[in-house]
Amino acid sequence: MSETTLSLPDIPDSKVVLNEREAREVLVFFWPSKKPVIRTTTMTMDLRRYAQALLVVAIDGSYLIGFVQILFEVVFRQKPGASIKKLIGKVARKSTKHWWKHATEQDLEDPRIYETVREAIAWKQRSKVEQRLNHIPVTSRGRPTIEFGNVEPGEQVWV
Amino acid sequence: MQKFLRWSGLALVFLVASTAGGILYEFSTTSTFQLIVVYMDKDNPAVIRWSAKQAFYAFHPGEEDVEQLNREAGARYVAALPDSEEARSVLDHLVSNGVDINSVDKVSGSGFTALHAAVLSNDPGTVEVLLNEGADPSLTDHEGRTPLDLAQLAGRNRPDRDFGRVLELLEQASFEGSAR
Repeated sequence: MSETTLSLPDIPDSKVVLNEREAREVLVFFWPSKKPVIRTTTMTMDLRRYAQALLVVAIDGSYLIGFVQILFEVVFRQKPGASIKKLIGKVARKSTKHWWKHATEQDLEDPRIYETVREAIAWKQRSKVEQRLNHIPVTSRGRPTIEFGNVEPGEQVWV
Repeated sequence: MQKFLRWSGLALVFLVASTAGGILYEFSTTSTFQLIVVYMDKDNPAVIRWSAKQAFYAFHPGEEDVEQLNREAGARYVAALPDSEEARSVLDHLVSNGVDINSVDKVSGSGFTALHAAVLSNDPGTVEVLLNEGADPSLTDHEGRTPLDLAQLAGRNRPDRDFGRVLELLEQASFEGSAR
């Protein structure tokens, strides 16, 4: 089993492109069951930054998955809705080059997020978002990362 | 005509068998975490979820999966299954294969256990499953907070979210723990 670790990019305030409504939409995209809480939470700069970082990682992570998995995604899994697709495009267009470790410039012309990647990120980041939604300061030792199992670029694997 | 039907039947059997074999191979070699994600997603076709479940009990978790799950307090993933009986069964399988229900999340850097995570989600069902399966309510995170401390803090910060049931479960568990 191979493993790839993705890090949430450190986005400065000046590079946060999602407004409050958009940040809310992104968080609901990752955690639809948390919609009522997300709706009543003030979208601070930290939450907007976090939502944008999640989208960057989800787009980047989607370019790690292999052919077999893509086939599975296309046949069986649901696709992102039109409005979140717009936000995916916006973040991909306005993001800094060094945030992308796996997606190429060509990929970013038509960026996508696969359902498997969205779910994996949602599960692994659930405590982090809950901390923010409960207004509990997020402190962590070391750089926060998301580990994906069975991933190696070019291999036919799951993310 | 009969020959055509026979060959068509054979081709169909071959197609079904090779698809099933492909799925089985994929599920047996994928990470336990991914398999759990596929299994838990109610939007996946029933046959895919069923295959994931069979592969989970037959082939998982491997040694590296156990390591990965223990690095990120992985018990929190399965304890959140909507059906608590199912959650118990899956958790039992993982624990009997080496997953530590009290392991600490080292990947995200929070120092949370699965119980801390369930408390933050204000999910009484998951908290109950974890406590019944042996989760220790006295363990602390990197900030020195027990799950009960976290629930109290979250309840104060978000009075609009009712943490009552979670608090009740944790207080009861803490009381039973100190009485022992």
